[in-house]
Amino acid sequence: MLRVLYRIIWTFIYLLCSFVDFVKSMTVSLHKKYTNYYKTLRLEDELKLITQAVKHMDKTPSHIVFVIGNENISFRDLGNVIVWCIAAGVSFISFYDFEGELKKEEAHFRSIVSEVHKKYSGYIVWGNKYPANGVQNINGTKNGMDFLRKVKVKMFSLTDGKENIVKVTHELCKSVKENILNVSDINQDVIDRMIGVHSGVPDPDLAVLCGSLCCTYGLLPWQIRVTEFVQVHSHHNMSFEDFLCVLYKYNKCEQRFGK
Amino acid sequence: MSWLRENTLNWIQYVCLKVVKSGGVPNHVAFIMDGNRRFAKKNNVAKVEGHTKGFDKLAETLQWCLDLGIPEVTVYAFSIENFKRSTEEVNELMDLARDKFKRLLDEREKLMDHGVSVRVIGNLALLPEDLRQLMSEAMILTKDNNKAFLNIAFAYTSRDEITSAIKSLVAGVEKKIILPEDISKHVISQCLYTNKSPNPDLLIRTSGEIRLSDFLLWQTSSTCVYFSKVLWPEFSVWHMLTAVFHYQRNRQNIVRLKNFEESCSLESCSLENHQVDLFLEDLHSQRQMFMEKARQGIA
Repeated sequence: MLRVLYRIIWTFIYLLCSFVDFVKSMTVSLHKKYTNYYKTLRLEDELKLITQAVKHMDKTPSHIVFVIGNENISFRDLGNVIVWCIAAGVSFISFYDFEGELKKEEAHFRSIVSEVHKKYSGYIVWGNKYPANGVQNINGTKNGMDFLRKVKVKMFSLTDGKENIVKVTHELCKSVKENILNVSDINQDVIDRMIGVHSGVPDPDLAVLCGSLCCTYGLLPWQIRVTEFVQVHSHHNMSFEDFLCVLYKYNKCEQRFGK
Repeated sequence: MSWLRENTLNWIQYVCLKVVKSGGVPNHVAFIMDGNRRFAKKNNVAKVEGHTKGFDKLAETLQWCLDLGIPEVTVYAFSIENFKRSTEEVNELMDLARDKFKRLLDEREKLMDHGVSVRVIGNLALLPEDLRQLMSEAMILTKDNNKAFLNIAFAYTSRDEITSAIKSLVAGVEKKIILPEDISKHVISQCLYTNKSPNPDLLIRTSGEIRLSDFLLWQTSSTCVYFSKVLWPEFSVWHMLTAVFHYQRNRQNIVRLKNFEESCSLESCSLENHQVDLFLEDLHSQRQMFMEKARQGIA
């Protein structure tokens, strides 16, 4: 009897919270749509503000990964993120969705970005394999925007996580069979290097989780050892202020690395 | 301070716990118990006092988990990275661990009554021999208990765990026990220290940090993560109930994610492989032998 009562109370609280969340979510979405529609700043001004703000930060991430979670993908909004990363001096921006939609639609994504952000196409390097080290930041000098740097863009999905670790294990088996390596030579650094070759990017400093569920969604398990996770309500209608907010939160994090 | 405490809840907290429990609880909760030293600084006490309070909080949390009916708990007690701390602090932590494991063995009857199985996961070879002996004794004593499971990550990092699994598998291939194509995600999971446990449904990290710090990175791909700003020694039953409720609110999405991940594995998974079973049996019995030797003080 009591159990039924507890369950009724629980259901009531659950529904109440769902309702409150729904209202909050609607309010935020509407507010964003409204501010987006009536925004007064041009993109160039937004970028200048980002670059200025970043100059006053102690640290900025060199690799950000946007984790799309359960949301529908808005390529237009992700395209904005790329351009903001250019202004912020972020060297690598990755986009992750566990089902692999982003990878399937990469061509479509690229065409939207080239169309909407024609001016900045020269600063965006798309592709599959980059060396994890030796990032070359070249100052852009077009149109007086000499504060911009190139950014490398990659898509990841669930299959880039544990499956890559399996592939590395197979490669190690082959190396041992061919006497290139002994089992005793296998250590974290060896595995780390090999995984880096597969992913083509350095470990993410910052992961932006889009949506209500805080979860890694299987994101690159080996590489997220010390990645900071910042959650945002949604990537839909994300503003440059939201982006700066994420960078500010990252800036506040203090890494002790176990010490 | 005891590992298993009597109920510390007042009647309001107890009723709220029952309400939350009625909504269905996670099978496995993991904790990153962060904030002991900041707690000590905040209260002007020695760091070791902060860690002791942290242990007390662990014992209290275990009781709440038992009351909620959560059968499995994994806690991040000591990372391999923590060896970088001052010799003084590392020794204090090792002494604290010694003290607590001795206490645990003193309370063996209580543990057996409650049916708690204690496992220490990590690279135990990095620990002092006497501590390893105590831990092995606790593990062997409680290995057949099956009502509740407590996994203590000590001298643990995820990368070290994955590296160890990979090395074992490559050695298995070298000795021609298994073939490279036998190695899959599922097989790697079976070689990790956590092979006997289901993946955590909920991971709670306290003290406001928003990273995973090399904890269960492989196992938490479809885990609901709850970051709490409270320092670990100040973690209350209200924080616990809020975290579990948060998990309940996100359970559908988590299940969807787990199912998707499983469907990906099924596609690439080979049929039941006798060679792999033999390899895994051999690996687990080697680990068991290491534990036996450690208990006798000869490893």
